[in-house]
Amino acid sequence: MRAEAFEELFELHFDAIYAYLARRLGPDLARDLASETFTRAFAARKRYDSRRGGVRPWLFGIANNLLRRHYRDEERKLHALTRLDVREAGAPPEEPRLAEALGALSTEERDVLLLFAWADLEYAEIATVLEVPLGTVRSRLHRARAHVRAALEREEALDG
Amino acid sequence: MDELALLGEFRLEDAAPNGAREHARSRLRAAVARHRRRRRRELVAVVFVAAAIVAGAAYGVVRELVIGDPPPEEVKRALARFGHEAELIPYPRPEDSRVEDARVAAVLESSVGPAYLFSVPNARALCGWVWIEGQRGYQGRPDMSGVCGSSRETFFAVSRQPVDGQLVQLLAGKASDEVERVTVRFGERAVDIPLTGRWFFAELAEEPTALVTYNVAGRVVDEHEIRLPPSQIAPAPQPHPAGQARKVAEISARDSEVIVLEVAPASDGGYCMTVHSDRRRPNGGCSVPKPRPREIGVSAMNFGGAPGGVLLLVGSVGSDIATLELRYENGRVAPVPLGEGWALFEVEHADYVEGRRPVSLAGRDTSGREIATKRLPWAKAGG
Repeated sequence: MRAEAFEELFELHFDAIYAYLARRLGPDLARDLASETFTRAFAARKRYDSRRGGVRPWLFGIANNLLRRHYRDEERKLHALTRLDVREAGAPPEEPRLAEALGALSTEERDVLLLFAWADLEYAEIATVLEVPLGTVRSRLHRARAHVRAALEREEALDG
Repeated sequence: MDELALLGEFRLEDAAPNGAREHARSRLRAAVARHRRRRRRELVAVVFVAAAIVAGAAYGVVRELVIGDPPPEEVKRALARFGHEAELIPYPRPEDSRVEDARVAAVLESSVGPAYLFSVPNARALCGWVWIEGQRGYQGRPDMSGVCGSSRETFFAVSRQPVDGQLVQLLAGKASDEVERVTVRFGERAVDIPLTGRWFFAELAEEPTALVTYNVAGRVVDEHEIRLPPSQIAPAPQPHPAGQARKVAEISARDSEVIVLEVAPASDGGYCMTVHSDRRRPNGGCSVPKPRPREIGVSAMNFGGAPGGVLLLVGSVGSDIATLELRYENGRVAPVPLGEGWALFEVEHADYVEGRRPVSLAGRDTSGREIATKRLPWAKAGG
């Protein structure tokens, strides 16, 4: 991939990468990690193999690897949201429950669920991002969705 | 219930526009530009490849660090050595780095490779330490430069380091909380420096003249003039020897090492003092004031550095002091010989440990009356 082509690729994909990281870690960390994603991708562009998937999952793969070092930050933010006073914050009522459910997922399940829900990646693309078999993506996503659904329904029942 | 629809609405916090795209684009363009320069140099570089591989193998290739990572072990060790760990009798000091709290604050793809800015707190301040990956100085340790300041103020430094025949100029610093934008002026021209958290880190191709910070309303928070590099300023006159050096003391230290103290009058009215032996590099300087009549001007000297160095007590005493003695934690007292008012004394290696350490010097006049005392630094720290 030529250097000039890489700049075009940046313009095409930056917003998606940044938005995904910002939703998971907040804008400050996302700003640094999104930038780092593209400088690393540029440095590694010769290793990019189009047969293993498109550019998008390749970039999300780099972003997700960088994000792994910040799982604790993400969990702290999720934990803070579980204590949110939704009326005062004007947030949707299910937000604290959703945060709690996401925080309770394993990091592998959370990655799959959020790459699916927030990055709009297909199963096969998620498999490329995480370097796991397609079947693993399916089973993790199934477990993650079931867990979140159960947590929300349980809370609804408790709310009465 | 559709958990995916709910997730679609869910956000940790608003992803407010924070110049992320511009920041990333400028970093990427810098990387692309460096790549192009490197390609032009490739042909010339081929002949150096073998040497580079040898050097890389010797030192190990440093990892891919990102913001928030702890520094590599060798950097941690170097930071620790800037503090008390380099002393023969270590004692905690406020300026000791809290190495375990050190983190990568910013990463820069400089023209000579990756450079890191580490945030390193100590008991008094927050410091930023800069390291161009792979650069090593004394005894092969990471060659680093640092700047410290209060977390409430903007502080920064411009370091200039020769790398492969090229002078690399790095700006590193931290902005105070109210700062929204940092610019560097080059005469009439101003360039924005992106903030990474509160830190800023950039390579400067020209000589900067000022650093200006702005608040969210665009008002100037503070303006700092950046002075010309030392090479362009007339050097301040330094004290220098103003006469012939003469030997005033000589001791036979452990392993029969002969250590000599030489002094010469200095141009500022004080002394130049040099300690040397046939086994180590000399140590000393020309900023030694003459002690007042009842003052002890004898200090500890780490001759040769930890861990293999020799701990010496070196200096002179005021004219009213006839004898000098050294007192230890365990109550022992040892005389410190004086020659023409000068002392050169080796602290035994066995006395470096807690419980046996020397703690103070006491001076007596000709009648034997104690007229001066001086506590040694590790005793002062209560350690």
